[in-house]
Amino acid sequence: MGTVTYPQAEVREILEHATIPIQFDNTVDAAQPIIKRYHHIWTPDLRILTGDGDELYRWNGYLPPAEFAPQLLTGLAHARLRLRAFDEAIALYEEALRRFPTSLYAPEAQYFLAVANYRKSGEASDLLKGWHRLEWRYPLTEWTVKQDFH
Amino acid sequence: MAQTVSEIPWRTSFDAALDEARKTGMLVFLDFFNPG
Repeated sequence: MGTVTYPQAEVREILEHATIPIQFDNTVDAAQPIIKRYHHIWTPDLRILTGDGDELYRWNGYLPPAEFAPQLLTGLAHARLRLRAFDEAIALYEEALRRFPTSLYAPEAQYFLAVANYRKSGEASDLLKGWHRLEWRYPLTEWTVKQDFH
Repeated sequence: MAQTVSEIPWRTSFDAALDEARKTGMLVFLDFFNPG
């Protein structure tokens, strides 16, 4: 991650402008309190936290820059959604879908973009419209299965 | 305690990072890594 993904310009730009980044070497004794607090077990281990230290999103595993950037945008969007900052969440999901429409994380972004629009408006049509777009654009994904009850 | 391994402006204090996030309304990106 440190030699391939983080130095890439679009990854660095998102991290610098949208987050307060901090990292911990999990072999260092001084990091153990944070490791215990967040039940860390395997690297890479990435978390998105509030200023109170509450975890809003997490993922594990190496990603190349072209997948890390949309995963990060989608995670930041989800964090804003859980904070009920709907306009910010929608803007981040839309950015992820606009810049990285074929990424592994685009279906998740499309799924929750529909949720964010619905939570903002209260209109069921916003949810269904977004999920129909998910079915059309990304028909064979986990997120399409998860909305297949309607 | 925190380590610097790239050009990302990694913060060096967890408490200070949380405090900065509270003051700015930004989110904290926390990365646990293994140098091996």
